[in-house]
Parts: sequence; C-alpha cells; structure tokens
Amino acid sequence: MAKETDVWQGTLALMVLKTLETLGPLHGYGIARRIEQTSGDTLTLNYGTLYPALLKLEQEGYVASEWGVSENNRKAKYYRLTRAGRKRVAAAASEWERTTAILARFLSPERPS
Amino acid sequence: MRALRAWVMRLLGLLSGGRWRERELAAEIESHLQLHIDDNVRAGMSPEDARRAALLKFGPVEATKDEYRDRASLPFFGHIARDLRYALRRWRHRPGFAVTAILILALGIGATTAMFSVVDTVLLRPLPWPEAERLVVAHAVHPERRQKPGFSATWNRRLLSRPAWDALRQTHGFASLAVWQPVQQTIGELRDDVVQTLHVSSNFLPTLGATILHGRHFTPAEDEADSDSVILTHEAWHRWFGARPDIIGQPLTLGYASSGDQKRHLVVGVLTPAFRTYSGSPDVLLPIGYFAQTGRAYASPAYRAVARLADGVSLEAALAEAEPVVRATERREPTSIRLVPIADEYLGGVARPLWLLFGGAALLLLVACSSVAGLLVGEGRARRHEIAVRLSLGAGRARVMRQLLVEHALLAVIGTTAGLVFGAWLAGLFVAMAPEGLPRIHAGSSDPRLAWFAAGLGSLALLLFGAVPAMSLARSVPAGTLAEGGRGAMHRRHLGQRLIVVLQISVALVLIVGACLFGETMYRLTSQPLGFEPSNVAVASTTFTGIRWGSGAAFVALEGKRDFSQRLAALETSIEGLRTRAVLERLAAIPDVIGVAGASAVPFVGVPREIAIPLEGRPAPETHSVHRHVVTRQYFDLMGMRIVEGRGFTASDRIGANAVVVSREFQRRFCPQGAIGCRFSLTWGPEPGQVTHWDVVGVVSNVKQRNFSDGNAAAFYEFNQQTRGVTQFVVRTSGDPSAVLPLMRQVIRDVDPQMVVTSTHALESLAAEDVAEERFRAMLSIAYGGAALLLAAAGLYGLAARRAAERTREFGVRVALGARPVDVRRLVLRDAWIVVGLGLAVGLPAAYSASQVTQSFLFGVSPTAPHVFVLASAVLAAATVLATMPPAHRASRVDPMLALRAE
Repeated sequence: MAKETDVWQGTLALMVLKTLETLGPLHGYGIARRIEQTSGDTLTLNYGTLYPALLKLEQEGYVASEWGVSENNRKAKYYRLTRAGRKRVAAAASEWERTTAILARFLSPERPS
Repeated sequence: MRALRAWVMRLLGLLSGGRWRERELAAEIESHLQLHIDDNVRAGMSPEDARRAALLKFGPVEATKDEYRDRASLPFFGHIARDLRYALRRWRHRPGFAVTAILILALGIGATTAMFSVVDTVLLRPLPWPEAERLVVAHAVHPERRQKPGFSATWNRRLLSRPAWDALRQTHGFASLAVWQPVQQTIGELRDDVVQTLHVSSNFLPTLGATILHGRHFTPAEDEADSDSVILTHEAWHRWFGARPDIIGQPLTLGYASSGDQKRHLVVGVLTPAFRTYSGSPDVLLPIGYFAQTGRAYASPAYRAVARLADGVSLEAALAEAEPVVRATERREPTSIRLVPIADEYLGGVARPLWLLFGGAALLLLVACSSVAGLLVGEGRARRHEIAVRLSLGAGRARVMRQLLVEHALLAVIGTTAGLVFGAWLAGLFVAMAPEGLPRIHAGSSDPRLAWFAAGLGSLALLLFGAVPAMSLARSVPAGTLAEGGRGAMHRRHLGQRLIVVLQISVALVLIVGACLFGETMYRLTSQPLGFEPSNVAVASTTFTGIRWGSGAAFVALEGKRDFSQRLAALETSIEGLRTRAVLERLAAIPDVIGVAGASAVPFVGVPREIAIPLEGRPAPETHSVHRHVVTRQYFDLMGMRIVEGRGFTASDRIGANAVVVSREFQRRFCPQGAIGCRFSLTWGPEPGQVTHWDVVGVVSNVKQRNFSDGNAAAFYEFNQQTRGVTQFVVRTSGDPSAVLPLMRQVIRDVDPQMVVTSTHALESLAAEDVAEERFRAMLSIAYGGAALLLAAAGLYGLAARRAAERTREFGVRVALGARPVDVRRLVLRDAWIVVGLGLAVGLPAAYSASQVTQSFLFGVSPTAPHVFVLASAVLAAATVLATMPPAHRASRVDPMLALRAE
C-alpha cells in the first residue's frame, strides 16, 4: 500500500515537473488539467492531491511559487521550475526511460534473440 | 540532500506560524475552484452545477488540507508541541503538583550530580602522571606487622636507607626507583618564610614523568655529592622571583630552621605548572647527594621511595625481587617492603568515604524518584476519569500514552535542569565544606561529563517514575471508570502507590541509619573531653631552639668534663629562659591578650618527644613510651588544664630540683601508690647519658594530644626553668584569637631574629579542622537522611489522604451506623501502620547490611549498634505516622449526611 503511494507520489511529481517544463509557469488547476489531458483522460485524479505534492516539490527546491493573475483575471498561485527542477526533470526522465526499458524487457512475453 | 532540505523546510514550517499557511492554502484552493468553475461555466454549466462539479473533482477539501498540513511541518513534533501546551495548561491550573514534582526531582538529581562532581574531580579524573598505572610507591615496613584493614594509611610505614636504595636500583623489576626526603627550610637571607623543600634523587622527576620548563634536571652526580643546585616549582618561581625569565643561575638562600645554618643555592631549573607529587606540595627541590656518604655509612632509614615498574613486570614480580634485597640490606632492624599503586597512595584514603557519600546521594535520588512516581500515580488516579472520557471519545491508547509520557518527560527535563543548577551550587558548597586533604578538590568541575551524567539521571528518573504510571493509566478501561462516576473505585487497593511508599520508607531508613551513625560519631568525637579549653587560644610555633654556641659544643666534646657540660646546659637553659620570658612579656603587651605561656608541644599543634621509661621491677628491655613536655609556669592555667592533685610549678622550682608534673594517665600507670612523693628515673635529663630521678609534685588532667580520637597519653611536664625546649608560644585572648596571629609572629621575630615562626594557629580552628572530615560526613548524611525522611512522610501523607478521600462514603456509612471518630481515625492509621511496618521490615535488613561499610569511619559507635536502628526506626515511624494524622483527623470528622448525599 505504502509502496504504491510512494511510486504514485514520485510519478505525480515527475508529471508536474514535466508539465511545468513544457508549459512554463502555471497554477495548480492548470497543471492538474494538463496532466489529465496529456494522459488522454485515462488518468483521473482528485485535483486536491496535487497540492501536497506541489508543497513537497517546493520544499525540495524544485519549484518556486508566487501569486499572479490568470488570463481571465483571477488571482492564482503560479508555480515555476527552478534550475534544480530542470536538472531533476532531465535526470528523472532518463532514469524513467531506463527503468521502463528494463521492465519492458522483463514483461514482454518473449523476445526473438 | 534534497530530502534534508525538505526536512529543514518542514522544521521551519513547524516553528513559523501555522495561521498564515492556513490562509495561504485556503486562498489557493479557493482560486483553484474559481478557475475550475469559470471553465465549467464556459462549457455551459449552470453556476451551481459548475461549483458542485469543481468540488467533486477536487476531492475532499479537509483531507487535502490535513495532508497539506502534515506535509508543511513535522506532524509528530507538532503533536508533541500540542501535548506540551496541554501539559502546561494543566499545570497552570494545578501548579502545586508540578512544582512539587520538579522540586523533588531537582533535589534528588542535584544531590547526586553535586556528589558526582566531587567524585569526578577527585577520583575519576586521570592522575597527574603519565602512565600512572606503572607507578608504585615503595614503603619499608616491619615484616611482622600487616597493614591493618581500614586503618590509617600511614600505619606501619618506615623509611628506606641509602644502601637499600643502592641495592634496589640494581633489581630488574623497576624501570627507575627514585627516593625523596621532605624537609622544612627557611627561605631568604632573613629567614622570614618557611618552605617545603624536597630532597630528591636525580631520577625522581623523570620517574614521575614531570617535565622541566626552563633549565635542566638534576644530574646523577648530584645523587653522590653535595651540590648547590635547586629546582623551583612553577608556583615558587612566580612567588619569589616574579616569574623573571632569566631565572636560571639566580641565587636562592635556604636555611635549616632548627640549626640556623644557611646555604646559597643556584637555580638550575623550573618545573611546569602541571607538576604534582603524591604527598604534600613542595615549593623547592634539592638534590639528595649531601647525604650520600653519611647515609651509606650509618644505613639509617631516611628515604621515601617511588618507582616506575619495568615494562611487562607486574607489581607482584617486582615485589618478589625487591623483598629479599631489602631484607638483606636493611641492617638496623628487620625490614620488608610493600609496593602500593600510586593511585591507591594518592587517593586511597578518600576513595571509600567519597563513594559512600555518593551512594547516599544515589539512594536519595531513588527516594526522590519514587516520590515523584507516587505523585504521578496519585495524580493519575485523579485523571482516570479524564482519560476514560478521552479513550471513549476515540483517542487511541498510543495517543493517550504519548500525552502522559510527554508530560512526564517535560517534568524530567525541567527537574533535571533545575537539578543541574542546584547541583552546581551544592557542589560549590561541598568544595567549600570539604575537609583539608581531599586531593585536587579545588580543581573545579566544569566537565561536560557532568551534564551528561545529569541527563542520564534524568532519563533514568523518567523511566523509573514515568513509564509505569503512564502504561497503567493508558490500559485503564473506560467503561468501568466512567461508571464509577469519576470518583475512583473503592475496592482498588492502591497497590502501586503502596509499594512505592514501602520502597521510600525502606530506603529512607537506610539513609537515616547512616545519618544516625555519622551524627553519633561526630557527637562522640567532639564530646570527648580534650582536657584543655581550645577556644580563644592562639599558638605560634617556632623551630629555632638552638643557642648558637658553635665552638662551645666542640669544646665540651674535647674536654668531656661532666661538670662543664652540666654547667653549659644550665647556662643554655637560662639563656633560653630569658628569651622565652622576653617573648612572653612582649606577647602579653598585645591588646586583647589576657594570658601567655610557652610549651614544647601544644596539643593539636606540636608533637611531644617520646621517652622510653623503664617499668619498676621489670627487666630492662621492657619499657613504656611516655610523652615529655616542657612548659612555662602559666601553661596549665592558660590552657585550662586542671591540677587534680598537688601543685603546678612555682618560681622556686629551680634548676637541680627536678620537679615534674605528670598527667592523670601517667600517675595511674607509674605511681599507683599516689602521685605526690612518687619518684621515677629516666636516662633522660640534664646530664646526658645519666640516670636522673624525678619528683612528682602535681597531677594534671589528661589531654588529647593529637586529635579528638586520641587516647590518654602518659605524659610528664618539665618546668622550663629547669630545662630547655620551649618552642611554642600560647596566648589566650579576649577577642578573636586569629586576629593576634600576625602580631605574635611579629613580636617573636622582634625579640630574636634567629627564631623562625613556622606556623601560627587559632587552636579552636585546628580542633574544628581535626573533625572536619567527620563533620562533612555527618552533615551530608544528616541532610540526606532528613530529606529522605521528609519525602517518605510526604509520600505516606499523599497515600493516606487519597485513601481517606476515596473512603469518605464508607466512613460516612460507618459514622451513620454509630462508629465514633476515634474508630474512623484508627481505620486510617491502621492502613498507614501496615505500610510503615512493611517499609521497616524491608529497610531494617537493608540498613543492617549497608551499615557494615561505614565501620572504619565510625568512632564510639558500632555500625550495628541496636540503639541506632531503634532510634532510626522510631524517628521514621513517628514522622510518617504523624504525616497521616491530618488525613485521619479529617476523615474522622466526616459528616455522614454530606458523605451519603454526595452519592
């Protein structure tokens, strides 16, 4: 149970970082929508769970936040990637690729050798 | 690294205000929902639907906030902080409980840390010599006598002779074997001060591992021949030379106080400030060579020895090799050798008493901890209701337990801190009170070990008093407790609290027995009749008694004429008598002085000469040793010594009359037929080598010569008009005797600059110093015992009060059924008696076995003296039962109607 959450937390964090890298500074709602859309609506999440994750990223110094105004004139807190965050995305992405590649090799039924 | 950063941020989050964060989060969630609603409305929803959908999509808002909060700070610590706030709030309402618990803890921990700091400074610090475990002190001993256990450390110790040292140095057991001799010498041309000098062999300093700061060590050649080298201690260099840098080669005049001979020495070295020897604190070191030739020729024992064992050689092996060497080389009398590790020599006498007092402090801590445990258990019973409510409202047991533990830990932390402060103060007091002769007590103890020790004690105390009540409370059953209506159950037997009080009483008994033993020792010692009145008496000691004849003595030796030597002795006596009279006259002129006298050995100050006296009618070798004193006419009167028979001296007792006054003990032993007219003979007297007959003219009361525990010495007093030997001057003052000490010194030097005043004392402070060790022990043990008694009484009071309060209804029923107040009182008291009885039953055997270790520190009382145990038990029983009187009284006045209506 705990393990699963950890994986989910880690994955969510990576998705948040990637989103911010792609779209630039964005508020929590925007990030949530973007993650949902990118996953092709296969991933439904309670938007609320995003905020503790964002706090953790901020504490770790990967993102920074400040209040701003949205395109439709709403006050919103904008998150942006820090330099450490950018490095983290790059590192995490390549790590992720390696991991999935290994897993794929394990999980694919048989490979012609 | 990132995890660490996050942790630090959370820690900061814990400290910074949570309110701002709450508002920030609420605003962010609100803005999130608003954005979502805007989107939904744009997609064509009604505003209500849009809001509902947004909320649904967001998920449970409160859960998010909770998760966010946990993430924002450290929830565990947050909860602890909440528990702490809760505890403080509770204590604010009932400050008595917390203050009492903290004070008791501070008392126990303070006493223990203070004692630990003394033990640490004196015993546990490394010894001041490198590789001290290989250092041994060598004592020449009489082979037949064994070291008496628990007896004075100086018993059966003799000196080694030069030939023995020469031979011992050839053995292989020792890497080096050094010898030394302490001497008191005058310093400076004017002989105006007296210093402790040490004549040491050249290997003495290297053996101890001492290092030279300036200059050089003594050379082996200086072991063999006289030299004028001198090495100063660091302190002497500062005191007499103002630490001048060009010290090497400076002259220093030292003289022998008794002969008046002086010699110019040259400084060759200065020691580092770290230098310590294991006995005394010398100022100046001299080579030992001056004594080499005569020492070899006469083989008279003169040296003390310290050795460093050779590598890989055990003390036993070194001893086995050294013993036959000593037996063969000491020709004067049968002599063997004993090797004592330097740690035992340096600290041996003080280690046991200090550990004993430390043990007492630890017992007091145990009583204190159990007191606090008792308080907590009692407090817990009162809280049973509150806890039951919390449990039934869904608080987890772990949560309740944590709350209790946090409270107890807070008590422990505050108590320990207060104890540390109290202990530091107490340690200062101990150091000030400590008897002379505790080595390095003044070294001070700002050791971090002390804080660790206190922290350890605090945690231990927490374990002892905190965990058990917390566990038992958290285990309690909510339903049953609530059903009792919050009054607590009548059928409960208070087993825990009773056991605690039993423990308290038994440990308190051990401490009270100790207090009684040490208190009685002090009382017995100080109520010993001294035989003289020490208050308002000041004494000045001089060492120079010689009349400097020079050639006269040689002439006597040449002539060998009895007649002449007799007349010379008479002349010397007259001259000394004149000088003594001059000094006494000048002393009498000092304001406040109401009486003056001279003597050879004032009690507690001087050492009387011991004379062998043949016993009447027994063969010659059987002799008895008696003390010989010389006094002036006013001495007995001034000292307050009673003439019990006959008379004191008068001016008509002239030279040749040989009148003598003896002590009561002397008379008992040597003049059984009556003192007056008793005559005894000695080969001691005005004619050297001749038998002199002495006529007893009076008997004085016995005097304790050396200390309070001294026996009655057989002593005889010669009159200074008939013989020489007055070296000490005594005055009785109307005011503070210590005020005249400098004046005495001045007066004596004015009369004869050749006389060296070696010391001045107020006799009563010497007497106080003599029992300082016993007083220290008595005061500490009485303080421990008193505190333990108080705590035990308080513990029993708490138990009885609670019991009585809970049985109010029962008592009400009893009274309603016709019980008299005295019956109710008896019920409460019976309860207390059972606990006290159990405590005594456990405590008595414990005290009995514990008291054995005090054996060697007692005087006039046996460690198993029944009256001590009876007294201690009675005091404890009386105090504790007295403590239960108020609750018993209150219970007996229960109004039955009120008690029953409370139902």
